[in-house]
Amino acid sequence: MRADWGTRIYMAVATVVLLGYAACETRGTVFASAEEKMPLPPDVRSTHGGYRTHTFWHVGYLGGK
Amino acid sequence: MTSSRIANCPSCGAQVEFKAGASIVSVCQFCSTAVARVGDDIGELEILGKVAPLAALGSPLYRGLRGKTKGRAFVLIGRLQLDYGAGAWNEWYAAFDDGDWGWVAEAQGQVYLTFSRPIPSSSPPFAEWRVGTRFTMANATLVAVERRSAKIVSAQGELPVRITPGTTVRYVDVEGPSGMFGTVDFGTGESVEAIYLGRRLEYEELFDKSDLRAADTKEAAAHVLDLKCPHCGAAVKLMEPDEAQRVTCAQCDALLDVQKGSPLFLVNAASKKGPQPHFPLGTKGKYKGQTWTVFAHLVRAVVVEGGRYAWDEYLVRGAPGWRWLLCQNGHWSWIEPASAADVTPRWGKAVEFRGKRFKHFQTSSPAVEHIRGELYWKVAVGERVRATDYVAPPLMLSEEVGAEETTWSVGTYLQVAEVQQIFSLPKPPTKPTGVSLNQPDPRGPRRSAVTKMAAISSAALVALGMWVSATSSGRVVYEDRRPLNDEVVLSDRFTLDERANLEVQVDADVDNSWMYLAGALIEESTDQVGAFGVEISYYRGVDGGESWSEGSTKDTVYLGEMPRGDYVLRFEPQWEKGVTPFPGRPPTQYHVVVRSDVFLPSHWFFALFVIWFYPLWLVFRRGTFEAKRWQESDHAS
Repeated sequence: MRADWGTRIYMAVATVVLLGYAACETRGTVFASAEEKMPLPPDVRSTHGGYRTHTFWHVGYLGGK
Repeated sequence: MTSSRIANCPSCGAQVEFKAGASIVSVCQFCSTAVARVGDDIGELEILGKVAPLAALGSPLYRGLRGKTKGRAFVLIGRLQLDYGAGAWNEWYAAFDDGDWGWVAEAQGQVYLTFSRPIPSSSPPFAEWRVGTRFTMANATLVAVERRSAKIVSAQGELPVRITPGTTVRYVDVEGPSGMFGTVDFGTGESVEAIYLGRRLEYEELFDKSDLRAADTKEAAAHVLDLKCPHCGAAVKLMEPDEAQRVTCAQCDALLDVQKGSPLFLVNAASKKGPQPHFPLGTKGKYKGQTWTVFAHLVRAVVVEGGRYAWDEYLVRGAPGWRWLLCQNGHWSWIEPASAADVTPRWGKAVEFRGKRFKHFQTSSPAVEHIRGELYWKVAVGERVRATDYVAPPLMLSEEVGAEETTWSVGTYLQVAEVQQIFSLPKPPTKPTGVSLNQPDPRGPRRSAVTKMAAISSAALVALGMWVSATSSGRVVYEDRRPLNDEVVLSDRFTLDERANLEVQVDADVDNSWMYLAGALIEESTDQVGAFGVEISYYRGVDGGESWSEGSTKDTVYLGEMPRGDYVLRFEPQWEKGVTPFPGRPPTQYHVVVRSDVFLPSHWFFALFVIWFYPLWLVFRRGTFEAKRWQESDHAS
């Protein structure tokens, strides 16, 4: 018996869910990500206690930004 | 069969024949006298009385017709005609070539072949039998479906039993599983005189179709030409004159009694016009490979708690016999007869029929309100039966119990479009409202298909989840335990080899206090910062003697789709530094663990929820559909 439109739509949705889940897990997607992306503010770059790495501050790395 | 034996009729002297050894009675074809042989000697005959002329019942059977059952040949050599007051029927005497004999009865387009059986010593008298009584015989459960008296009206040829023309005999008809049928014969008394057991069959199962004839039908039809309504004088035409018992005048709606070969007799003068049928009587339709003709339209109704519930019933006739079309609230069902013996009572007022459980729906006493058309029984307005309905959509099973008879029928739900197609109607005959008692859930097939797909998808999701869980590294990229101070912390650089998520888990010794860790994930090559925060608070106390707590001493946040590259983390803690409620204290340290490429159960459960949302919604809709169905039942909540 041929599936009705509702069944066919559901079949498509279920397929999308499975493929979507696989894709999300492969990409490391997080639906409720706590992260807010932003460019690093310039004034933070050279501030002590800013984003620079431990190596930068403590090993004497002076290159870069 | 033994060779023919001939004697002279003691009444008229003509020859009477005893072809079969089992024959006891022979009816003289010249003077219609029934004569019985005394003992084995046909030289001595006893006169039993004269029989009335045979009524033309439209039978395709005739004396001398040969038949066969299970490899045994027989010939019909005589018949009895009985009338139970609402109609007559034939019982043909079948003499087998091997000396055995049986009865071939005709009713409603079928034949019933039965053979004599020994009478059990414990057989109850006629007075103790009731329709619906169940008992065991021949390893089968039999049900009494009819308990009546019938008059021996006429006879022809030879008979295997003594009869007295004009006497009334009592009988109980029984049904068993798979077409089993029998008659308990009480003769004119109270105790059982004979038991006949056999099977319900189609004519073609016993006789060669080419040997059957319709001679009687033609003969009977001749009697009913030029019938006129005794009320208004209009011409009345019968479609099935050999079986008709009641007919209404198409002109004035008077209800008329049909007696073959007689003028119509007025039962009820026209009173008021009933509702119009959905299609004209005489309409022909095709269903299940047969042609059906609409013979009659009845309206039956039942009053329950002050409410009147009415429905239409259409009597249709086809080659397999009589059937019904039922229409209630615009919903249609095709009704066929069912054997009482195929119905087994089950727990909870339910019954089982052909391996299917039917739930009790309602018991009522509907009455006939309007009649139009031609019917095969002596129906009357106001006629009432006790009806019990059971349902297993799309089927319904109905029992109608009268004083002398119980009948079972099984109905199948028909879509309106099917009815329109059956009778080739130009438009749908009705617009259904509400939910019918045997209406299948219209979303049933979809629910079934979708649920099956959801199960398959769930299995795939389980496999996928197991694969994701097994391949997620959960590598710790940063871990630190620190005392709380105003210092901003930077992690060592760490590398993500592939695009992945990050899990940041923080716990602190908060107690009636809070802590907030402002975090930043910095991708070194692009200077992109991913800011996030983790808030931890834990409060507890006693209120009104009840202990309470809220929050937690730890929390986890996730960061998604981190591209491959080198990263550093920056943490800046904030915390409650003031006085905390007793017995709490401000936090003193915190612990951070950051993992990459972790398995997130929440994603998996979310996918599972999406997959099952629609199937569960369909299950919910089924619940509301069923609630509507059972609102009209005896079990409405």
